[in-house]
Amino acid sequence: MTSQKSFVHAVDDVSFSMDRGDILGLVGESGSGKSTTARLCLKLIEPTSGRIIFEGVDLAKLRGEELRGFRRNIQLIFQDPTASLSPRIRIGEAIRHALSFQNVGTASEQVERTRVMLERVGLKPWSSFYDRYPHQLSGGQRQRVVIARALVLNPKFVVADEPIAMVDVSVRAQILELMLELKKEFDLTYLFITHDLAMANYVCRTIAIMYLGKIVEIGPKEEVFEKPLHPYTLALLSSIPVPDPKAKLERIIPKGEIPSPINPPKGCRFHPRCPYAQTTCSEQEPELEQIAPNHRAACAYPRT
Amino acid sequence: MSSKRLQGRIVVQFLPALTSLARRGLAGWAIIAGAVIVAAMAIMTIVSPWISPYNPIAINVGPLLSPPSSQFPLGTNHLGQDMLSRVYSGGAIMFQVSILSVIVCLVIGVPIGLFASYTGGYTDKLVSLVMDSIYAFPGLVLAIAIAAMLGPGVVNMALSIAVVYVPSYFRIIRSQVLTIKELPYVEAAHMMGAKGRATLFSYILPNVIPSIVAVATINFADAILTAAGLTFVGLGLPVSTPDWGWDLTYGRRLLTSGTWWVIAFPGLMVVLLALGFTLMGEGLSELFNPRLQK
Amino acid sequence: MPLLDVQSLVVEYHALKADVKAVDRVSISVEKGHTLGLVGESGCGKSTLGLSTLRLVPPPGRIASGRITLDGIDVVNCSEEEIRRVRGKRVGYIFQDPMTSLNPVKKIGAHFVEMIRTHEPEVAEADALKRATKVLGRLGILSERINDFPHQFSGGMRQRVMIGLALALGPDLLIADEPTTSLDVIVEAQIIELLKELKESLRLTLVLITHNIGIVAETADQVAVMYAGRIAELGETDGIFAEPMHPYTQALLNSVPNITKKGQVLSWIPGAPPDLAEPPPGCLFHPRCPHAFDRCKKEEPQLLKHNGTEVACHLYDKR
Repeated sequence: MTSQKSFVHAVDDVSFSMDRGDILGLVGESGSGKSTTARLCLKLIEPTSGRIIFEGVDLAKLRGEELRGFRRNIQLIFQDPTASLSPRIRIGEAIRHALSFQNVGTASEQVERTRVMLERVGLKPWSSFYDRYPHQLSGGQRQRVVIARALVLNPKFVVADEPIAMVDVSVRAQILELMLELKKEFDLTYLFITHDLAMANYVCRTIAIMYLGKIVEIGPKEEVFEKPLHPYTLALLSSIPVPDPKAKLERIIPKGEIPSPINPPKGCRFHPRCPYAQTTCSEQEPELEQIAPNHRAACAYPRT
Repeated sequence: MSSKRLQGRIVVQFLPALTSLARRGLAGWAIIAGAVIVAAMAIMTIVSPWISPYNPIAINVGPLLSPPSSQFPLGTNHLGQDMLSRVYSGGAIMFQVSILSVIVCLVIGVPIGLFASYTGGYTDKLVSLVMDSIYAFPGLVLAIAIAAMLGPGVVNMALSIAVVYVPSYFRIIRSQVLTIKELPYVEAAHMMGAKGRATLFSYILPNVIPSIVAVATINFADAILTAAGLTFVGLGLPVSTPDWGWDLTYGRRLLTSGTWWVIAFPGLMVVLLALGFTLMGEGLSELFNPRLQK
Repeated sequence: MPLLDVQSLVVEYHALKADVKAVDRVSISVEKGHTLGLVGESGCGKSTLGLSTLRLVPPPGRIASGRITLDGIDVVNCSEEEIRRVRGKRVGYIFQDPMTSLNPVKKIGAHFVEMIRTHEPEVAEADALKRATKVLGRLGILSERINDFPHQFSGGMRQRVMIGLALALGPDLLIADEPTTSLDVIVEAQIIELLKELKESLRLTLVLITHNIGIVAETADQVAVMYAGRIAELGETDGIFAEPMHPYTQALLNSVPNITKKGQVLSWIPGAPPDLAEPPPGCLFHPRCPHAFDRCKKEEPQLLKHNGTEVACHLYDKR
């Protein structure tokens, strides 16, 4: 998939592709464009230019009915389980809506599929959950409803936007395990958006690091996290708090703050903050190039 | 079922609702108090034919302009009509007018509000402009102007009040829809491929209803006062119908000569009814808004 | 003598169904110059505990019983006057959300002036601004920004302003409630490094309230783990991380991904925290505890010392 948008340069000339069955983690801080990229993939936002090719079809060109029908294949799991469920719709109905909006099956078939889905995400027995309202469930349970709703249509591709950020710490792994099990069962492909590198390391196979609207490093998880190339990736990795008081932390903290995406720095976008910047960094914007096998970085002086 | 058991059933069903309202503090009590007042006055109006000592429109049943006495507890007016009977039945018009105007507002204002703010763009701008223009007029003045054009009668009064009030519904609904439109659960509806109408009716409207209810109750209160005002100015009703507004008009003229009872009691009724609705409306707003914030 | 000493504190909220004990007989004590990490998930009562040390618990919550001694002052029973003098001057508080804790129509400088002059009315505005500039300078904010408005600052900068405001009057104790929760990873690291540095240079005593185990491991000398309003485990940081005793602590530590550990398998805790309006009998954690046995369902565990750590669990209570 290729996508590009250059209004406020929210996402600027971003290109990446995903194989079926992959779990890609799109990692970045605020202003990195990760959420925007995800929503472009789902065509919730219009790209200014570029292509979004899903199984050979360019989503960027789809409109109206065609687009609506396509939504069956790509779904979104939201960050905030409370805000993504209408407080006035019972959760069973909320899940069933996914099926009824797409005219899948008869009403009773839809109800049956919803019941099965409820139990599949761990809300057993379905009879005690179907008629509940969101406020009658815990945060973790609500997130399961969101997952159920996303998967009841049997999509092929699921974008998960910070799916566990607003769930209690002790329950997060349970939601992640559920998502991984469902991936095997439904043969899904996941795009995870997160700022939590430790979580990305746990779940994802491929990692793409974004900074200020561009992908600065992309590759298999083992490569990116153990042999990081881009200085920003190094800084990120060194900043993660480690739950071990004996761990020796050598922090590489870049100077200053993330600049506004409205006026990104000239040349390499990270150069004003980079501890290893050279003169050429402010003049030429580096391309995302292959530096190690399967491992690309956009840096003129990668840290090998 | 025996009447005692029926009564018991009704109480049992009401009781939990009442206690949960009472637990919600001041707002809950306001709603209960307001509802009690409104219900009491509605019942009074309905049973007035049975409890009125005299025919409210019969003239000369007693001496003209006699102050409150044992025979005429609220006195008589300049036509010799019994004020007590007039007070019992004078609310009928008020109720009819206010209920009708609220219905008209709901039927017209809600769909317009929903549709215009959801569609956005020029439709929204145009409709907002129209609504704001109407809103800019002082309510009573506009109502009078429209009532003067339409002529007397309950329906016309209701219509003139409705026109004045529709912009308020529109504004509240619009601000709610604009907020809700951006919420993740609406985005989720789009993700599932919901068509515009489905999104609007299943996802947006149910969450807008609490604010509509709050506006509607305040609308009732306002309608009462405006109806009284319209009759006061002479637009509104044929003379023969017993109506508090009418009594207010004549009562005012009689006030200078020391005849206070013709205006006082109907006036009190109008205020009380408006108060009842206002309490309910304010209580409902309190109840719906802080909970949403939490 | 500890700088902050809390003894058997009970904070109640009057809810629709019953009285809820948001904090139930909690005792903690922090020595001068030390850092206490108060760890727990949402609803465990850690924020309420933090607020109660300054008598800032909003109604319908109230301190029902217990003692809080702050540098000799009896916080629960002292007068309004006294507690007001303590707030800001002796204790600085960093609130949870820097976005909404600053007045959007007031310049940053004005925030400081108001703060300083409330406690020291004799200080002239110009002097107050000078002090503000100095504090902000230590936190990496340039002096000319004193005339900017909150919306002109990024999240990380706003949090630094909040820290500056908490430190403006030179308090000995700093209570930070989720100071880095809404911040980006790198900014979070910057703030943590900043807090560590301030701890050193100002000999600050710090109470860090958070659900982020990582930053607690890094900065705290002592850790108190809270669950459902009670303390589950309390002890030195090294000890608790090396050998967590309470099943809740164990599960919590196992549910946090550690990027330095290869092949980690994360665990989780089934169920959800109890409804405090209708708490389960005995140990509040027993419905979710993998090691629960008979006694746990009937008897509430006491906080007892075991191997240098205090833990409230029947597994270690051989009485």
